Amino acid sequence: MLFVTCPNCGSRPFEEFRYGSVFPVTPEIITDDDRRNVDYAWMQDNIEGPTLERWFHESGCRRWFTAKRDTRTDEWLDI
Amino acid sequence: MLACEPLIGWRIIADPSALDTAAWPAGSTVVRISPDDVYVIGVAEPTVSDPHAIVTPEHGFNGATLTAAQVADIAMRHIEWQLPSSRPALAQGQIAGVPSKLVLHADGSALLLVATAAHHELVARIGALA
Repeated sequence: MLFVTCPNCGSRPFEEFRYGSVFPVTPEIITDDDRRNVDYAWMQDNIEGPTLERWFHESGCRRWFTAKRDTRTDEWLDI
Repeated sequence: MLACEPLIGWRIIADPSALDTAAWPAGSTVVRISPDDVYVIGVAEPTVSDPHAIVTPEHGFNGATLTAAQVADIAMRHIEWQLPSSRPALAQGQIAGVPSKLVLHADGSALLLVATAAHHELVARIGALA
């Protein structure tokens, strides 16, 4: 079973969580505000490897947190 | 079957430092759901130092008192995650697949909290206890 570590509650089964999205990071080379907004909202990178993600502990503290997961191995790198 | 009764308490959303330093009356049960969120039972009307705190009556939980043996029974049969080893402690997560909270007391007993809307489901899934 895949476990996720909630910063408030500790390690819990994956089923207790809701996946939010990839934590959007807009490249600094995009400087125009409108283009930054478009990139933030619509341009998904679909990264293979370590990825920042938003997760919601739905069955516990009901708080959002940001976690770093390796999408190739499902290893949690940093929470 | 588990007797899971409706609870009347207070929900406080406030700055974490205000909750850290709040003085709760003796005999009250304080459930720190997250750094900025606390559920308190046994207080007339709580106050905290944060002027922007949201303090509101909370009628959304049912609770049941469990003996140490019942906690162990539930942990063995219905909890897929590790209970904290230290006491007192708060454990939040799914019990028998239902989002619940266990307020673990120092003597091994516990208060089981579950959303009122889900308490029938939890009681049915847990069934008979030790």
